[in-house]
Amino acid sequence: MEKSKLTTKIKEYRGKIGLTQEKLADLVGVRRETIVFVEQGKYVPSLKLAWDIAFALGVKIEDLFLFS
Amino acid sequence: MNKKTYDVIRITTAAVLGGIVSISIARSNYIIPLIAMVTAFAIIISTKKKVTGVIDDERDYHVAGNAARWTVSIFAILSAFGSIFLMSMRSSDPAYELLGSMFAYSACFVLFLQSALFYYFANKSDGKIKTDDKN
Repeated sequence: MEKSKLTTKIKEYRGKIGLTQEKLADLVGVRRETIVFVEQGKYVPSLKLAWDIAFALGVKIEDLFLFS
Repeated sequence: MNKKTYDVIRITTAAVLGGIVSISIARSNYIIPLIAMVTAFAIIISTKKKVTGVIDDERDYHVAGNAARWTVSIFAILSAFGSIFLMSMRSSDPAYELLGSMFAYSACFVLFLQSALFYYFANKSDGKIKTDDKN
């Protein structure tokens, strides 16, 4: 089975509401570095973290994370 | 207290502890290192409790898991080869046999411990080590 690649729209939605990586990290209870890695698609977050990020940005989880 | 201050205190404490332990052992004093280790441990734990913000998160645990897995694999392989090599050298010096056995048993112990802990975390819990999850 081919490994799927994660792309996210976190940066885009974060920019829309003027939220910094640091602030988002604080809101969801992780380190800023984790947000950086998730944004770049280098780290696949747990369902809870993905849910928390989506909730913090006010979007649906499926709008935020795309697996190709 | 923020994480940066905590890191500075942690590293400084570790450095001071290292210095105290090495000087004390060089002077054949074994009580001071024990007291220093307990004190350092207490300082780090009490400081950690005062940190506001996130010290480590799920990605850190994920990375730590990978690092631990690689460490066990590399240690087991190197110990196995090391013990075989040392055992083969026992004809030149019998001390090599003892050293080889030590490597072999320590590799066995690490593998046993890893299997036991894997079994525990796979069956007795949700697979996570309890952390101070602030969420």
